[in-house]
Amino acid sequence: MNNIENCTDLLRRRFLKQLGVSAAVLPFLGGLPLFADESRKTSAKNKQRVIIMFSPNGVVQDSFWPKTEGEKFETTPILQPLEDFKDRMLLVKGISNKVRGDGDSHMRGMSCLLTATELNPGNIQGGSDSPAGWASGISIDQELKNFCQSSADKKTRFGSIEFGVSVPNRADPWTRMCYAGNNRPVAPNSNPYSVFSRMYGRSKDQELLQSVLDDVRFELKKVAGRVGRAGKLMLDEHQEFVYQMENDLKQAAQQELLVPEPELEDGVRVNDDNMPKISRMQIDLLVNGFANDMNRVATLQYSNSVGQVRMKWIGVNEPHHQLSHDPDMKEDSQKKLVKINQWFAGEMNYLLTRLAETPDPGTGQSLLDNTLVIWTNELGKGNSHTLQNIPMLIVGGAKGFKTGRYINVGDEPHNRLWLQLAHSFGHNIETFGTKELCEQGALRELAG
Amino acid sequence: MPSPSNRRTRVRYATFLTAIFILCSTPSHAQEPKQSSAVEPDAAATRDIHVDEALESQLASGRRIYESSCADCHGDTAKGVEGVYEFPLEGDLPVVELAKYVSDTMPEGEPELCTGEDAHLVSQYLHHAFYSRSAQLRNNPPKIAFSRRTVQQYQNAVADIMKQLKYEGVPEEKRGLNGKYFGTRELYKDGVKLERVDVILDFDFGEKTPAAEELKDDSQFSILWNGGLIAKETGIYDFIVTSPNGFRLSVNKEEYTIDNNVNSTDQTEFKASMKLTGGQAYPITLTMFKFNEKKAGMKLEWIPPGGVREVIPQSVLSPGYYSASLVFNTEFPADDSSVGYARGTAISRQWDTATTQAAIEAMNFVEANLEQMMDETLGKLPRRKKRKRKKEKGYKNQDKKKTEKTQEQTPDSTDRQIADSKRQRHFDFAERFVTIALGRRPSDAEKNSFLDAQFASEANPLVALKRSILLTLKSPQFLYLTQSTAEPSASLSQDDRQNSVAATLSNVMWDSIPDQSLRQAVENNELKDRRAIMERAWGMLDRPRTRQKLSDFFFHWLEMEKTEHASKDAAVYPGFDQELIYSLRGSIEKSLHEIVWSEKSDYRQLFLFDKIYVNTRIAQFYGIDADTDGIFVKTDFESDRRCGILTHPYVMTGLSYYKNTSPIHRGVFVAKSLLGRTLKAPPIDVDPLDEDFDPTMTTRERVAHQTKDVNCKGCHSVINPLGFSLENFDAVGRFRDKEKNKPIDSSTVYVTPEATEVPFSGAKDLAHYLVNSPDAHRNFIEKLFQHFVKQPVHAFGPETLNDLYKDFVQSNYNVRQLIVGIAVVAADAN
Repeated sequence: MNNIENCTDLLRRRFLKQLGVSAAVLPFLGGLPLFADESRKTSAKNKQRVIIMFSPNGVVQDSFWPKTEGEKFETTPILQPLEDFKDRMLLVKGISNKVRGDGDSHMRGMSCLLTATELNPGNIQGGSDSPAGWASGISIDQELKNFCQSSADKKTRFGSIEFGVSVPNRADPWTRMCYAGNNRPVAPNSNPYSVFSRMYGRSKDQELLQSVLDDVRFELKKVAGRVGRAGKLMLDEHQEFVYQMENDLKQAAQQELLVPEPELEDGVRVNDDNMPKISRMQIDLLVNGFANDMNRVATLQYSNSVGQVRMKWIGVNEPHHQLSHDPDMKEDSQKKLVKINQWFAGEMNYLLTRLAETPDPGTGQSLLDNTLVIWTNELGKGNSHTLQNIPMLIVGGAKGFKTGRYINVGDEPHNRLWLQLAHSFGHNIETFGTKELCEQGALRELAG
Repeated sequence: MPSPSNRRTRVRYATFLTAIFILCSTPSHAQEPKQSSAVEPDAAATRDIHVDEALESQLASGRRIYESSCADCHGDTAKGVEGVYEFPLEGDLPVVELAKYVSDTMPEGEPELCTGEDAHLVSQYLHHAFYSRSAQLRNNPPKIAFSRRTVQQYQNAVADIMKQLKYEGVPEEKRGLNGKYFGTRELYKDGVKLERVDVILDFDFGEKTPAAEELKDDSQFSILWNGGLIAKETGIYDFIVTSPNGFRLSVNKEEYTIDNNVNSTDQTEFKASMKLTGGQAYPITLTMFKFNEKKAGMKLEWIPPGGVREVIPQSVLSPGYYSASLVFNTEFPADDSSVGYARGTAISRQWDTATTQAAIEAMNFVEANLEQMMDETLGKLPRRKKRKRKKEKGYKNQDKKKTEKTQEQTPDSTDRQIADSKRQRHFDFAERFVTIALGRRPSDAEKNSFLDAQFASEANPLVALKRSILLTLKSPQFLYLTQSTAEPSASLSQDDRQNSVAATLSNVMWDSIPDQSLRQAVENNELKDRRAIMERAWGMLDRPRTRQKLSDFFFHWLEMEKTEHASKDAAVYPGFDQELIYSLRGSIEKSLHEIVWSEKSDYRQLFLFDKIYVNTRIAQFYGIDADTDGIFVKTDFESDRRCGILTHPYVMTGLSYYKNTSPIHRGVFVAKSLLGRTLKAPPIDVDPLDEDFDPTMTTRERVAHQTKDVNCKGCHSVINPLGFSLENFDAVGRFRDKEKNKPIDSSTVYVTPEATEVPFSGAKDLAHYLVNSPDAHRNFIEKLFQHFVKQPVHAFGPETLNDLYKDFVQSNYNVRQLIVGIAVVAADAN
């Protein structure tokens, strides 16, 4: 929520926020259904979804890309944890972030990654280049969200949910990749408990409420027995309200979720040391949200551009970004960097496994069959800060993406990849982001 | 209906009115409700009273006239008759005035049937039996009404539970925000170069740094301001930050209220709104940094509810430490204020829903802050122990470690121990919550249902805790102001009584729950008698909540809401605008505050003060010569013509029309609010006569003309003289001695309920009358009592008002002492 917006937007957002909170406990007022029943009505149709997963600071290129192109590509060290999904994988080399202008590579790498357009001039100084501000356009995830939300058969409760894992609590071009528009970054939520309460808060609150109403009535009765006549009359009236509320809640509870909400472990502190736990909690929530058709678009952002998480749980005690600056010849560092990316790959594997084992309600397919998971990065390689050969691993199912292969497209602007993604949703836009970079149109090679 | 004469046989009494006061004052009335007809209480009340035989026979004659000529339309007990005349005959005109009215108008259509002596006799009977205030109290003795917390009390109480579960810093005496200045664009990178308290944030640093000596690099620096912000009243506050630089504003620890750290637009002004609760302090943090911009500056403004845009004044800023407060998003239905003060004597489904929503909000607030709250109320868990446990847990699968363990220390039992201690901690915290919310230790039965039952039926301690919180906040013990846990038959134990005393004290003083020290006082058996209660009440007096409550009282008593959004004819009053209104409010509040919170706290000064507070805006508009320089200064303002609140422009402005004064509004205000007189609603809807009716007439002449009808006389004989005495002050409170080229006539005669005629020759005379009038004093006490206790004073015994009055006079009309006295009365009634 830490984003700059212009005055009216901010007020509007605040208004919605306030409305949201009060609306969250409204259902027992008028017996409103918990979740719109629309999902079930449209469930026969194919529900195209997308997840964009981000990890920072580039990759060790040789340990990421296979040598052999085509269907018979070999498993590289970083992709090793994803072995099981090899035949559902489309690995695309040769994608470049060609957006220029203000900001250093990390800033542009991050804030232009999903927006594919320039940063505004601003007051934030990177490690090099000129200072910059926020991106000047919408990001592809938000574009697709708006597209889905504008059509009745694709509209969901949230449209998109932005998950974070260890994203530091500060808003700047290094920590934000999603944008609702020019100068309007969207903050990911790195606290699974707060995401949970946003997704399931009202049903949980209602359950709790229901569980104490009996006791409330007992207390009312008890106290009514020791006050005067006027007091007793009032407390009897109160009893009646509680009774009505109980009935309303029972009715509301009949509007069940398609899939019950996930059980989260209690009291996990939200900090970098708990990154593995939090990652799994967020993934569980993400998959659950899809299963309940709360959204069709999700982003999963690990840390941030220049992220400095120390992954002690895999034996890496140095901060990630610092390691990524070490030269190629420093073998120990390269090994650790591979290890770090293997950990991310492992998390992706968990995500894919969960999607593959969760049925897509009403389709006879799994969630993964109708979901594209795209794992990417703000840089190609950490120590050179190149914006070429950005990792692009696409897994899952969507029209326009032929999986089970590794291709090298040469040196193509990533705008074209996002165009192809938009088209797979049926959103047939001709340009996305910087117009000049879209001259060749969508990247059709991906369709095979 | 039995004749009064049957019951009033042995008679001896001095004056009519005092007798009635005694009549209505029998203690039994205050405690037992009387449901039956109005006659019955007479029987009980007069058992020991001797009434003059002459008077007795007069009353009997009057009664006969009433029954034959009046009862058909007004009912046997003067309560009215449906479809004929539906209003009860109640009021405070003296018998002579009533008689005049009856003689002139009654019976309707045939006033000649009842005149002279008959009119007097029937009026005397009516006055005595039903009409007068004393008759009403006697016929319908008020009692303490079973009540829930009012909305304000509920919100305060829940917010205070949250506060008591956290560490609160000691409020700072200093005003302003603490500022830390850094020489780099990043905070703390190079250490704090300068630290100071900035009273307000309104800086234009130009192309330089804020302090050339400490911050040497003009191209970059950063600043962190923090402290507390005190909300004066409940409502929506707009915050406006103007800066060409990157900044972040956080109010109430929100991340972030406005976040413009990344500055990539041309926009320099940013706005956000937030709902805050009056009388509460909220943490506020503002950071800014200059880099890559030519200039630097920072202005922090707000628009408080009913206010105008202004730089947040130093008076509401404090450099101390404050923790986040619960801010409700729930909308509450308004309390019943039909009797002149908000009270909690009715419930509705909306109220039940709102309090449930609010309880859920509170529960979620606790969950979000649970770790900090647990650490600060129960103390932190020892760190080493924790780490050791973690280690044991981590190695539990290694055979080597396993074999080393003793039998009692199997990994399973360690896990269980951790779970048990976590559970215990949640339980302890829940118990603390219940204790704070109820303002006392829960009884065994309550402990069982609020705590034990919740934790026994729920495996997850967090869920159990949340249930316990929800149940507590939804329980009648919390929602209603009934404190005793005893069965009705059992008499109150000493502990029970002291708990009730503590709860009443905190409700009366703070509209909230007892604090830690008040609960402790009960534990230490310190509230055992009236004297001890009084001592405690004095200690509770000078707190922000009490000050807030007294400010609210003045706001309602002086009908200040009438002025808040007043608009005036710009052609006649050029320059009159919302900003002036807001300035005037600041001015009158400063005076009120200064008087009541001074040592003498003299009620009389409210009507006598001869200097007012003015700022530049007020000085300009009213042509006052004062050296204001952006702040309020106290200065002379026509002190030969004005005095006190009565002639303060804020009051005069609200009690006026768009262009002209309104003697009727002013008269009603003085009569009802200041003198406590009863006025009927106007019998018919009447629009004020337009000025065009006769452009040569003054306002006074027009009002007199329109109300000259005999049907209007009853009330307007009271209203008009009071209103006319203020005619020297125009619709924005400026002094005038002419209207339409005729001299202002502000001389009048006011007739008291005792039929005394009091001549006034203008505002000063009226003010002096209010200073000396026992009616005004009693009225003030009564209204203050209602506002603080939310119950009528007469419900606390027949002599209570009299006792409070005597003390008030004896203390030289000390308002603070009166508040303490009121609190003691209410608390000691437990």
